[in-house]
Amino acid sequence: MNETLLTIKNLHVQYTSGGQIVRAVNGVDIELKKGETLGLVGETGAGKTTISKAILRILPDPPAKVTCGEVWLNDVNLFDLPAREMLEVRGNKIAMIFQDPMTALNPTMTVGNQIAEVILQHNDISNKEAMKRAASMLEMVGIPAMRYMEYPHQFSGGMKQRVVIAMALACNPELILADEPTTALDVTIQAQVLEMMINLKQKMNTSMILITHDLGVVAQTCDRVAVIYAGQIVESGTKEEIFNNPLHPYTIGLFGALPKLNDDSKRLSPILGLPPDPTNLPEGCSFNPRCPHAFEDCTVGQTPEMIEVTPGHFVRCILFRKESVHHGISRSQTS
Amino acid sequence: MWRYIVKRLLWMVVIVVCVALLIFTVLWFVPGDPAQIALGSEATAADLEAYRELLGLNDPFLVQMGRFMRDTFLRLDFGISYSFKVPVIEEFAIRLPRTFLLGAFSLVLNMVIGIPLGILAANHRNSVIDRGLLVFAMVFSSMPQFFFALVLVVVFALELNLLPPFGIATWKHWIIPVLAASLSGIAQIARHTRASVLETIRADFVTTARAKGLEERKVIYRHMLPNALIPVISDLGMHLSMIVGGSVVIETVFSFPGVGLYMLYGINARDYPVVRGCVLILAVFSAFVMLVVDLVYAFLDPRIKAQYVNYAAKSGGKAK
Repeated sequence: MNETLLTIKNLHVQYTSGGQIVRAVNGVDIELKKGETLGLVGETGAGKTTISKAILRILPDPPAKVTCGEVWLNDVNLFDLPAREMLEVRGNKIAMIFQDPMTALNPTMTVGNQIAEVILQHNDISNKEAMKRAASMLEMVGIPAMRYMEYPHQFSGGMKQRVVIAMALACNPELILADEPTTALDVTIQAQVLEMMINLKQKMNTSMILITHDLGVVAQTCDRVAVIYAGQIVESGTKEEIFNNPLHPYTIGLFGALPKLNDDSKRLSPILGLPPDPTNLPEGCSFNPRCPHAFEDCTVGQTPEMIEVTPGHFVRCILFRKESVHHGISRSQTS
Repeated sequence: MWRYIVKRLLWMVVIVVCVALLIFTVLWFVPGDPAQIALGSEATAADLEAYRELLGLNDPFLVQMGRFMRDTFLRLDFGISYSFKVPVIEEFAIRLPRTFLLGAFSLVLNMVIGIPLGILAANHRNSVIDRGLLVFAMVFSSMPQFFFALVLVVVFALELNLLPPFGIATWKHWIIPVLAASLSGIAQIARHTRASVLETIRADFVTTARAKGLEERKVIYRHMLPNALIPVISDLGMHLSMIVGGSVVIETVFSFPGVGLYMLYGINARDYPVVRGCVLILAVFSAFVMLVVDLVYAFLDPRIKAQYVNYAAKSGGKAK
């Protein structure tokens, strides 16, 4: 459990669009242990999907470009691998579950063959054997093997997502990148799919990065949480730490925006303002224009450093610098 | 599926019968007298009358139409050409293969040049190749076929003296006509392919295929192209029936002795059996090509196949 599987160091990704540079990911560090599930939480456009595609090196280049950073899987830097060897990582050691099952499957290929394809690609076995394994993968995600020869259009959304999951798990990957795996599904199906993913993950002792903007999903599945804002991790820690003791004003804002059952307030309290324009990020802390606690120090210079407030709980906010205790905010102030 | 095919074939019969009635009626109302044209301006009124009587042109509309429909559909006899004095069906035996061959060559060129060009342009989007192709496509798909055919004749036959300008004596005679018949099709197929590939390149399932660790070659040939080319198939079918149906222009420019030229003679000479026969044959051909295109489509795209199967099942249910 304590062995590190994945280490991302100082990852920067840029998109070039119409002559402008969009800074999508700005120095992300992630460490993931074997068997662990990390929730990557953030608003739309915060750079979550870009991070996972950067790990697999399937960002469309151009317009996207990894300008800086390292991604270590065990003791291999994926960014140093020749393209040929990277193929063996994709789908085999690291698999990805995509957001929209409606479009993630090839409409002209039977679902079974789409699963068999990835098995055949990474294992030295016969066609027949691969088909057999694909059929058992289908069974594993709760789809009768007799539907092997059917096409994606014959499946419902939830079943398509099961197929996508079966495809991702087919080669027993060490790491699954699940990019909003339940967003496109309705709530009852969401719960089923999530539960299935957790079970399968535990059975195979796979690590997972779960990308989502749904804090409920995080609560249900994750061990650790990283909150991402404007392409940077602004707070990370164990799930319990983040949920019980959120520190960064953005994280607090996120929780504030959740509906509460035991509260009779009529309106939710949203985070005011919009995510920053990634072509033109604000000086200082990226969150300062929307932050209720911002003061002049927040609007100058570089973005703040990560500060370890309690062991394992990091926050990127100068309020928690040792010398600025007088500006410190406490949980009681906000809840 | 079989039910669907049978149904389509039955529809084809209906369509062809309607076309036959229509062409007969149109020709009835077209001014001009076959006898006058056949016998020339010096013929006497008695000669003309005798000739018309011989051809049965003095009978009432319905009698003539009935005779035509009976001969065509029950005896499969298109009649004898007034001016050539040869059964139309015999001329078809010689001329149809030529026109079809012209269409087939042109179709092959459309496929082997148009599709790869489109893929190439899509893969080098916004490059010089891509821009050049778009200009080429615009010029050739908007230029009238006959003009383009004449330019080819002037350049390759008259100026460079490389190829014969008309006739079909040797394989060399075929080059210019096939080119002239193909170029606008190639341009349009290339453009369509380019657009379709660009759309598919961004599709999520292509990213999925990459994330599986497939080599780029497999991503393209197994996942991207099969999906990108489906819409192009219907274009190809349309071009084929357009080339064969529109063979009049090309065949006239090159004196290419095919069905198109035959039909043109027929129209000029008010040679009714020839015109009717040609129109019917082309109608059958077009309907048949459309059916084949639809079947190929269904074969390639399981979603469409499912529609046909459901459609057949539904209409079968109704029939009970």
